[in-house]
Amino acid sequence: MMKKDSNDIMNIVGLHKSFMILNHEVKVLKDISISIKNGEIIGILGPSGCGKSTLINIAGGFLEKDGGQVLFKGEEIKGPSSERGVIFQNTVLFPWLTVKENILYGLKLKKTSREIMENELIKIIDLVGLNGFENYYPAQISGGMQQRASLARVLIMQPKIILMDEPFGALDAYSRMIMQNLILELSMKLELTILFITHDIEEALILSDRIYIMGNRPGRVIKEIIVPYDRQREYGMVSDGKFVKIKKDILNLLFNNEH
Amino acid sequence: MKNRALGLVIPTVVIFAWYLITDVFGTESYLMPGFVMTIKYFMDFVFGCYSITIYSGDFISNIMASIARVFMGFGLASALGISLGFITGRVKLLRLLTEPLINAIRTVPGIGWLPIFMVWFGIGETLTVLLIALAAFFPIYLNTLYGILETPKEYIMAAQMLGANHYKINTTVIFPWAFPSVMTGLRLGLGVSWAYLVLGELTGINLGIGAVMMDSRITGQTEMIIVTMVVISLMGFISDKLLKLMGKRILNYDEKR
Repeated sequence: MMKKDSNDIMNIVGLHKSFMILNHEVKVLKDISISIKNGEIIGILGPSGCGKSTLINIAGGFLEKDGGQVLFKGEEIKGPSSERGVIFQNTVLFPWLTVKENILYGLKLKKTSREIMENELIKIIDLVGLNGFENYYPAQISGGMQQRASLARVLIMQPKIILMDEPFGALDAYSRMIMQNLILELSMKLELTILFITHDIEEALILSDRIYIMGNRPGRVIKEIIVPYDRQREYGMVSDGKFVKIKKDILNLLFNNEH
Repeated sequence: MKNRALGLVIPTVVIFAWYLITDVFGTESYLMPGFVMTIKYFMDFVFGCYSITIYSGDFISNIMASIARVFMGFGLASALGISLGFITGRVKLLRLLTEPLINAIRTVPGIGWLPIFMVWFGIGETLTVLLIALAAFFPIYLNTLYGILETPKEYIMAAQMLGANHYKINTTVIFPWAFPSVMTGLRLGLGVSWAYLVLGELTGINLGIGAVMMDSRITGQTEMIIVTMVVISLMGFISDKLLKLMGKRILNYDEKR
């Protein structure tokens, strides 16, 4: 049983979820327990099909759970909220709006004043590095730029936690590296709390403070790892002996779990 | 520019062939009127300069009558088609209720409705307008419906996450997404409207381009038949362009951007 720390911004306790597939009940998530403290970056690492996406969708408030608790600031979540911002794998920027209009979408819904919106926009564009692209349409910018815009529209709402669903999966290796670096930078500057899912071991190690490793069929947590690096990381760490060893251990764990 | 020029090649060839066959080689004018003669009849229709037919100079009154019918029929079809398409797209229960009936009505071609409409409404304005409305309704309704159903779930999720309520999701996500489909439906509907206008007017209306068309067949003035065909074609072309322009004013969004 997990201890609930009042410093936990989000707590998932004993989560269960099943789907009906071709008249069979398939257990997708079994007894998942995850805690996220303020300011932490938590990675959920697992192979395809282990239910990671289902987990993030439930945490985001888009999917109903079957059992267990999903607590945000101590209370059960009631649906999507800008306090739990979501970055999707496929950007999902509105194609009929410019980058600027996309970013301001949430604030506009809140009927924020023009002045405040303009100020916040300038700040956020600068933070994510989209200067000069405000009036472009999503289709006119690269995948990496689109994810920056996607990040900006969430950040501008000042979320308490950011949920990321394999956010860099659709990017090429180089863009992915740039974006991972951006996340690390921003997490320090803005003291972000992040829960993200990935199947990429290196990505999990580069970004996370702690990693929950998930197994397959049914999806469940098989191990929790504390990443032995502080937040000041450089990309060179991937060739570091310590890094390679942890990566190898995780690989073994995942491989053995499959067989 | 080059693409536009290519598009004009075949029409030019056709017109030239027409000129050759009729004015140079000579054909019976009741079968295929001469090119030059047809131009004359057109000018006369519009400006009344030659007084060769009874329609001399009556272009404006006839075209206005036809335009009014298309306007009303298409307008009715659009209002019903878009609103019904939207509602059944968003409320599954309504869609399940109405789908069978709408599909059943759809399979009867517009022409098939002519006899029963004639019984109910008699010959005249009402008949034509309702016929146009019926025919134009289906492409508008179906395209609107599919546009709405096809809205990717992720966009709705993103909007919800950013704080959109049900109403805002409809106006800021579903409507813009579905708009290109709605435009497609409207353009198809408009094209169909002109076709059914002619059908409706053939039944014996006094004023209208279709009426002139039918009438000139009876009086043996084949030139006027060609003239009215060209007029309908032009009207279809111009109205489509205007519709596209209006669409751009409302939402300048093209998926293929």
